[in-house]
Amino acid sequence: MDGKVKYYEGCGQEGPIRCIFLCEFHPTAGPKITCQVPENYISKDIFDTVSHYIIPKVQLQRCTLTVTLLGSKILGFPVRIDNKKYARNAYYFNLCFVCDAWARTVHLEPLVKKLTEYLLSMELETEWLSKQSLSGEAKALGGVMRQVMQDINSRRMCTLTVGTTTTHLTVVRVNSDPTPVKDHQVPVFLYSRQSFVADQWDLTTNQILPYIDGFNHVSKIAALTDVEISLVRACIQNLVYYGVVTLVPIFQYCAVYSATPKLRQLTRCAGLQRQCVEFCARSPRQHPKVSDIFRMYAGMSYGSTIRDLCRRMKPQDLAINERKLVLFGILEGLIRRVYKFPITLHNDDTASILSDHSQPLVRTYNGLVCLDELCCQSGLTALQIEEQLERDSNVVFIVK
Amino acid sequence: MEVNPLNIFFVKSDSKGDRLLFRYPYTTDNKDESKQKKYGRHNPYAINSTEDLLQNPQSQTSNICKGQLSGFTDEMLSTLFAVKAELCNRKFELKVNDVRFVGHPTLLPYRTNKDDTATMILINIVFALQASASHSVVKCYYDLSKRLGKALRHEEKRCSYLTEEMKIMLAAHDEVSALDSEINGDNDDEEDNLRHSVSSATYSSENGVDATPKSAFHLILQRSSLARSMKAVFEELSSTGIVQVRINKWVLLSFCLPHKAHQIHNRGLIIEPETIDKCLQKLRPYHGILLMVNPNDLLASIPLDSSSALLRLIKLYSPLKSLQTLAIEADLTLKQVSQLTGHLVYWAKATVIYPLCESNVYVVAPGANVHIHSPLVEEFAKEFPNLCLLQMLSEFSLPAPLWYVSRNGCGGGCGGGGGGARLARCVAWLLRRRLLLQLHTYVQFNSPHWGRDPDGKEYYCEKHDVFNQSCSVSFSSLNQMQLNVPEPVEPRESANIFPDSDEDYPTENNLNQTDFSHTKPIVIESEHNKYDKFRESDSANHSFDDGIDVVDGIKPVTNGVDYETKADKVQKKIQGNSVDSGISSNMNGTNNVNGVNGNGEVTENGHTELTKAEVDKLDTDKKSLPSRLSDLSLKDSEATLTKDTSSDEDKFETDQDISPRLKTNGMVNGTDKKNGVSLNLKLQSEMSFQPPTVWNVPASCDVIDACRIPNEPPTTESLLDTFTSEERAALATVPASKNTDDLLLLAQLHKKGYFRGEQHLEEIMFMENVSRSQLMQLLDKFKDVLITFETEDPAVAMLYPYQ
Repeated sequence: MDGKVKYYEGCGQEGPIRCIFLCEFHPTAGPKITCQVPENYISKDIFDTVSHYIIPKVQLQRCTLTVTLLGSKILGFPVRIDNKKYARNAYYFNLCFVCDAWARTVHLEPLVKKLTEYLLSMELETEWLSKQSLSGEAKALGGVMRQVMQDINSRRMCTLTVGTTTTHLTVVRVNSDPTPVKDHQVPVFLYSRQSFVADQWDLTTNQILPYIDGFNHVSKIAALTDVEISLVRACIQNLVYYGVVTLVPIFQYCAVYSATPKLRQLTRCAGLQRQCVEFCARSPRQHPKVSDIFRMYAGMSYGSTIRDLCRRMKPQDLAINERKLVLFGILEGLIRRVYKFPITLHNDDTASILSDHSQPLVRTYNGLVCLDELCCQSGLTALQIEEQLERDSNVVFIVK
Repeated sequence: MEVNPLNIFFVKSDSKGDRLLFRYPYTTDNKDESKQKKYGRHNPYAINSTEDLLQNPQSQTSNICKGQLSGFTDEMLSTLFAVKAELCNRKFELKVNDVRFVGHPTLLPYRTNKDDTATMILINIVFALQASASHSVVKCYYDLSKRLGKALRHEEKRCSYLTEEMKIMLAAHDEVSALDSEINGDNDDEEDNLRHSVSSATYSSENGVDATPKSAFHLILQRSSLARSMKAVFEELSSTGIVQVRINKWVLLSFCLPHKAHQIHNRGLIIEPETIDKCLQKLRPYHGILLMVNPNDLLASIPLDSSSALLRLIKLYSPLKSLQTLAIEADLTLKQVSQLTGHLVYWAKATVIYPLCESNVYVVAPGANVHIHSPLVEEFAKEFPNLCLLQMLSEFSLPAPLWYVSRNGCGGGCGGGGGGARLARCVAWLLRRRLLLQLHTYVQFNSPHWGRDPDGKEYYCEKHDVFNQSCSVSFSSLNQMQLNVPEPVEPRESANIFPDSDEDYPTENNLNQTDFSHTKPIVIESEHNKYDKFRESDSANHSFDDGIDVVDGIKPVTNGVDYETKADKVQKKIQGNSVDSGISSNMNGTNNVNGVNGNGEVTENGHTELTKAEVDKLDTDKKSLPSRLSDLSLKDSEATLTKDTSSDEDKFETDQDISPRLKTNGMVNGTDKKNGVSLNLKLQSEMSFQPPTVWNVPASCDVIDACRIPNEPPTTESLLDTFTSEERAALATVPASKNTDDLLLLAQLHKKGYFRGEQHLEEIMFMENVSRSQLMQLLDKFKDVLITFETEDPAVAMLYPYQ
């Protein structure tokens, strides 16, 4: 988890929670801040200017509201409880998080909502919240808020216990949905396996975890673990969503890679060099030379396969493990895979009928399926498929 | 999709309270929906009890329904958007569930109709966006809101436009609400009715009394020009992202949402303004522009009061030209051209490329859409009959120079006449659609002490670290080297010589005193009129008419050397032409290499030719030149070339004052240019490929030359100092290092930091005025210490969709 924290901090887009406050609609004084941690972060003046976004009109109750004003961002989830026991027959409150205006706060929204609902249920059951505010000091509430702020900022999770009830809060990164996992892709861990708490994951995931080594592709993992392949895909997609693994193209000696502009970093960044040398070494005792590694990467270009490169450079003599070299390059973005897409050109019926007779396996290639995927589907080697396709004059290859 | 606006609102707030005056689009089912939403999912069998509602709160999570805003009443929105006075004239941003509202509340003096005492009124033009819209999209919308506010403030001040429009809008609201109350027969008091019922739909439609639903907003749209303007803004934003609206037929509001505008040409390509800024910072004089639209259409669409510089630039535009060429031809500074380029890119009218050239290497871009049924296939077929897009792309599967592709029969099926020109158009088309990506070759010097670099930086080391390094290492003695200066034209500002002149002509006299930062080998095309133009100004300032003859006549004795300069240059130029254009693959071998070698100072100004003469004189070990020169077969210089050059070794000291003239002579002799013309003119006329011709700047400046010579005696030893001892050891093992010329060129380029993988070959060629073949030979000879890799130019690749 520590690794995760660093990762988040490093990306610089999400800021810490600066302040948490509880705001209520006082029957006589109107909107006011009941309790604030730290004190006076939101001054009275500022609060007055923004108060009608914090205790809004009826229609906006139970909406996540984020208002960015005067250099800070205030997230809230206004709630109203209708009950005769309250003055004015209703109790309005809103628990707000304050962040810097530049910070991303989408990931905090569920948190605010959950915390508010927790407070709401306590209020409904024991009137905990309104008692807190009536007591004037709201010590317990302040303690809760302080704990939330500290724990979320430092550990990104928090376990709250108030009286006999407990709630767990955790920040979940909001990501767009990961693209579907394909059979020929290879999952690889982004963190060391040790930092991975196995019992946080479901049984199937635990079953496939040992086989995620950066070289096994999805269908191979399915075969090795004897798990249904769609389950494996779902598990890996889940892991991708949480940023635990990423997907890389399958390693093949017939694969083509191309250097990216990022490759330059290898020449100047000592940290990257060290990592690279350690990772790509054939044996931990003998480290390869950076210049040799760089030469290998530089040799990767359109039109030259890994096989060609290995014949030319003899990585085994240079103490380089070429599989790991490629993996490292992909992970660090030093190189990128160049895929080969077969495309059927003249999609006329006559052509397809003709080839129907001449070839047993006939299909049209629409340009979305790369050779890797075809190999994986058909169980043939890339060479066999290519030969087969070369025979079909309607098929051209686009390499990109 | 997420860059489209959901809605536009116009809210006022004054002493009479706040009011939503106009919104677009206005939905007629707004009311029903908001009602439904309030109760959550409506189940006819469920018992609706309030307690239940509290315990299981059905909180609303989305305010977007079928791409339209829902769940907000107009009244609620007007309270939200009528901000307190403290929050005026700054950014207003509010996010409710998955909708983000952004606006710029503007406070402006307002004349009430009764008395002329001006009171303040707050207006807020708010855009509703999807919350997932990125920060930079939000910023653009904010900017638009701000501009609308400013325009309205101006018009209000000028002719009380806002007052009039608001009167119309309020009257329409009143009219509709009056109608409502009539129909409904409600006893609601007027005010309440006003506040609540006047919404998108009138009650009449709900009650079914009136068959034709009438909305206040509908009336407003018919009556108010401001409302129509807002509608236009909304619709243009949703369709093209480019807004051209004249508020009150007076204030022209031009706005571009680049995220959207770039999708006109490339669906799904989202380019943020920040990316464009970054790209512009990396722009170099050798980059070129590629218009996305027809230049004539573009000229027609430009407003009348646009800058004449832009018009000139567009008129002279060609994808074959570099920015520097364009700058010269359009009589603009390089800075202006870069800024105009930025402008064009921002407005999705152009993209940045390396000028089209036969030696360019293209591959299919990783993000290219190669689906067999993609609309691009159709478009391509329409544009280029008989050609198939996919087949064309498959031609680019292997990285090969363009001339190779064209030789192999453009696109397989495209034989016949005009193949080259057609291929050029074709490549331009593919580049516009971001289907092709250009690869460049970068060179990295393989220094043996890589692994144990002691600086111990962490992995996240950034580019600027590198910039600092390279600057401090190699540029100490150079007054300029814009390799790593972010702004390509930066030095221009510091050049005290051009106070205001637009001329970037190297031929101006005053240029002689500049620091040469921007007068480096100017690449122009050998178009005929251009040459004429240059010739004129040349001859105005320098006393050569037809180059060689005149000056030679005057100074026949002093300069064996300058002939060789000339010859070198001529040869180089021709070679450049021939190699690059693929006209002939004649590599003139070692002859050229000696042209540039030897002098460290030569390249600092980028005038290889200028100082070569001097340097050759300096380097006594270079006296084998004549023999090498003798095998040049250039028609113009042949006669003089055979002169003995070895005699002037001792003349060096005295030559300093002479050299300018020599250089003038050597530099811009007319024959050179004519050569260029004759070679290229034919191609040019049919928009075939043409390599950037290196035209030697006649900026041979007395002052600079004079002071340049003493400060750096370029000897092999001094240049080799740039290598560490290990590097020298490694070099020593390379057989090519025995050749001093090669070694000197290597050292020179290395000293300037060209072998750090930062500059591609084309850039080195451009900056140092060396030919491709020279470089290729050098790379080949020193392949043990020089590692090359091919990748894309990051500046250009930035404008490609995410890979």
